[in-house]
Amino acid sequence: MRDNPYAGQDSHLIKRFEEGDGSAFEELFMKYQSKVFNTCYRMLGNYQDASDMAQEVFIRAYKSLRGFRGDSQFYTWLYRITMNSCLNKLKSQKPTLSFGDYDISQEHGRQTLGSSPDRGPLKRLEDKELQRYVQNGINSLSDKYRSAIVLRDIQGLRYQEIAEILGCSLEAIRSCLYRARQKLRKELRDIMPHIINGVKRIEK
Amino acid sequence: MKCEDIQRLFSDYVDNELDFKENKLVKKHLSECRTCQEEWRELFQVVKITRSLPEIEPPSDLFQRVREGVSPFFKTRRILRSIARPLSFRVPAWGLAAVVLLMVLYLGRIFPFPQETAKLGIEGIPPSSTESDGARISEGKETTLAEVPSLDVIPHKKELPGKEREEPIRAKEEFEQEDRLAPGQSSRAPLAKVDDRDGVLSFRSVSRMKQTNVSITGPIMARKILNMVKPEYPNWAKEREVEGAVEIMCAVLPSGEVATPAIWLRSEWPELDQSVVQAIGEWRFEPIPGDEVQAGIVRIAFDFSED
Repeated sequence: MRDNPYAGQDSHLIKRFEEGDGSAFEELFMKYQSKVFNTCYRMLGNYQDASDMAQEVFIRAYKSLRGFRGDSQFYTWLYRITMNSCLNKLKSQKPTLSFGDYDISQEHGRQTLGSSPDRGPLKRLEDKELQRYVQNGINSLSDKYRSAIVLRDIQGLRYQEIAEILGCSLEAIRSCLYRARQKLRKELRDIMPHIINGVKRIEK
Repeated sequence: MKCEDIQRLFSDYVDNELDFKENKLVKKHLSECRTCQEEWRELFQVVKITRSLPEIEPPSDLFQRVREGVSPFFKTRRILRSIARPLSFRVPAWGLAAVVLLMVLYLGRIFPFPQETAKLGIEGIPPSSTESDGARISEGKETTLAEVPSLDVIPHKKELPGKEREEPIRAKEEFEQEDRLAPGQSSRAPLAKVDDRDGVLSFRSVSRMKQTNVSITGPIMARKILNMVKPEYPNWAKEREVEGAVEIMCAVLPSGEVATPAIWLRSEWPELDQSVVQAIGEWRFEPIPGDEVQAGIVRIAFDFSED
């Protein structure tokens, strides 16, 4: 019932791509660049790495798109490439990001398409300081936990899709998310009162 | 069940991934246990705050870089660069107009209707909608779904067996029951026809949430809506008193059909966003003569505040 609204057109675009229509890839790119980039950004924790990684992901996708069998959805396939690339990068650069690596000045992007901060019950987290804490909290998680949080809470994917992307069971995803959230909560405990106030302030 | 066991279920409870029995168990326990309530609230805040992180805009030269990376593969130079998004989002005053243009261009790529049919309704945008982002929505057509709760008219609604007599009084309750019985199926059916006498749009059915506000901006706000499908507001969202607004950008064809509804402003709840997209895709505006494709933004706000 909650079908991905993007899925239908994707197979059409891929078909066009296979028939040699270069613009089909551009359309796929336009559609998914934000998802890929933001996944990289939250996984890697900084803008520069995320840009490089997103570039790499799309190049990789371009080169292997012809081999795409269509037995999974295109977007889960693309997420899989994204996650594998990010996880490899994280593995190669151990020890992972230390606290404070996250540079808030990079949060310059739009908050949401066309939104302005004073608009209605817009609840994007607006306090830069808080954003920094939360991203640092995410950075402090192990790769596995971070993946689960990013795919579920930031990218909004379903458990089933996450399991498919990360190649593990539904049960594993459940327990992973449970632990990840507990851990994140511990990390954020010090600033919890601010968070609660922050949410309230933004809501009102 | 011990508190500890209940708390293990919280993570899945946030995502509504528990089965019916467990769900009930957690709910019951939460209503009785103060410690767990605290625990739950904290976890819920953590999830909420994570979901509130903003979406970061990718670098504007990303496509360029990708193309360079695959250049041997990539012969054809395309014009798509000219449609690149940065232009439209850096200039707020042009925001809506540019996006409408972008949409129609994009539409043209998907549905190859003849060029002249893709005429824009930009002249129709009231001044307020282009002046500033902030003012845009608030000056749109405001309406409340729950405004006219005339219980007697509920078209297209299946009657549950043995309750025909009580229909008017029990309408609201059944509404909820219907959700429970057939999650995700029935509640998105056309619930009500819209009555817009006196210029007030409203659902002639009972809304089971406190309020669902609809506001519309852009050229389409002048058009009547013949069929307004109410977005499903799932029980899990209701239980958690999830509030939020979703804005949908859409193009309305001359026939009144809604083409390519897309999320313009998301809430923190992807499932809720999807339900709004789907519902609006089923809306039907009044047909207009000519071949103008009109665009606009529909904002749906789920609000739990007491009247």
